[in-house]
Amino acid sequence: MKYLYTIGCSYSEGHGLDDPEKERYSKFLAEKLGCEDLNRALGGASNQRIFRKIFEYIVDNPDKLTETMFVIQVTYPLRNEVTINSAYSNFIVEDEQKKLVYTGEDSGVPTELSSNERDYWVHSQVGNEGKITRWGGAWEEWQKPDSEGRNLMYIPKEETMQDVTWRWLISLQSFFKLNNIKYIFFQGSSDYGLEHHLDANQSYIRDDQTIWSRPIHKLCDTKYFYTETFYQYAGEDRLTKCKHPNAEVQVEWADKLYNFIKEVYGD
Amino acid sequence: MKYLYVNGCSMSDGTCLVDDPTVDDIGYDIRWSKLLSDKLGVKEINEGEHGGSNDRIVRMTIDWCVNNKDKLTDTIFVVCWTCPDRFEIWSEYYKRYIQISTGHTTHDDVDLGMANKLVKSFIINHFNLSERIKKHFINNVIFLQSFFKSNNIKYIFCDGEPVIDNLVGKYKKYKFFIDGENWWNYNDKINCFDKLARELNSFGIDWSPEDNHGHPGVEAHKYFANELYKFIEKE
Repeated sequence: MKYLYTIGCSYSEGHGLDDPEKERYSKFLAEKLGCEDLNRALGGASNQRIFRKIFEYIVDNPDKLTETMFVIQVTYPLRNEVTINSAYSNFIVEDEQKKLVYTGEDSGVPTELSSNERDYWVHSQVGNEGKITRWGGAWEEWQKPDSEGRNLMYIPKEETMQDVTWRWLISLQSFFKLNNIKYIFFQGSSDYGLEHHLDANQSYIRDDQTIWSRPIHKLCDTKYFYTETFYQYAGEDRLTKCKHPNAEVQVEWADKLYNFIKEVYGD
Repeated sequence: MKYLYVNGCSMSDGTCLVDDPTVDDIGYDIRWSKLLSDKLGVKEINEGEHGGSNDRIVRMTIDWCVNNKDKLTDTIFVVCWTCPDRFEIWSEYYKRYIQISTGHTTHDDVDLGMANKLVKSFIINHFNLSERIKKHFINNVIFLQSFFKSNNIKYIFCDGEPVIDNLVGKYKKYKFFIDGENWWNYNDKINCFDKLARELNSFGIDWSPEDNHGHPGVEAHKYFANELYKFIEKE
């Protein structure tokens, strides 16, 4: 094994760490496995982005696939991404565009991300009641569902998005199995982790509403799914200021994933 | 084998085969999927729908697998891909997916005001044929192919509209991951149902010589069913 390809959202990007590239779990896990650390996580990213980027890596690196271990951190299903056409981006206030690019560069976005990624893919936080991520705040007026109910982010209800997530997980798992590629999945946070994103008047997600409640998950071989979740493992007192697992937890999480990989794949 | 599961667009649901406005124009008994299931001696399950996108095909096929796990080893799947520029988006207003073809709503949705507003907004602001649609579609093809193969499920792919020529052939890096062995006439000149109908000069009731556009006719459906039968037998 030569490469550790890690992807996810802010939990895998190392949000809130002093020096994410040196302190996040993927760095320690790569060291343990003796691999090069290829971390393509992006704060605020959706599962759609995660799967899109993995497929891009796959088609760009067919010769590396059998030498790559994929560690895939699943994020909140309600997140989404859409492209913004250049004509539309001109509509956005110029300062907002600069802010988008600046925010991306300033917070550990891998430098090899194309300008296309920065300029045209926009990630939304928690559905049509949420916020646009990477834009540093609440919806702008033009992003809100309008008076006629149009939802510019085109996001279905929770369970529909959970099914979307499962379809991509099954897709990846099928591809990996068929091609003898090593991989594991885990969730950055359980669905409950949304608590700190939600407004007080929004209801929390119940047990029977998590991704595991969806019948489609039965098509996925859960042997490769590490079911402990990163954020919940950290606990309330071991988080960074922005409520992500701190440096101490990153080391422990690398150990946990390492042990799980050994358990699943042996030595 | 007990079941033939088919999904696709109007090229698969038998649109424009019957000239009877008192019923509808779908030839349920003479469409290729029914003829093929008869030849195979299995039950026909056709979830194709006119105006449907490839997103819909993949979503519904997987949903059927979820709900019919006990039937998977007794089923052969025939997926007839449609135009690569079709896709679906969610309408929160209607609480369902809206199918989009050539930038517009399709069939029964064309008169839905809110659906048209939604689609227009999406096309103007977010439509990116290369990034969003075409690569996403090829990912979907690889997805379904991998799912069937990794679960030892029998399947074949075929083209209702020219997918191999217009898409797979142009994205060379992706082609490496496509298995042409399970794809009807993958390397042949006549490699989609639409081309076959033109070759046979067999068209449905909507054929317009002026527009050079329409659906396959009765003979084309018969011929296509025979072709797929031979392909399945060979595979």
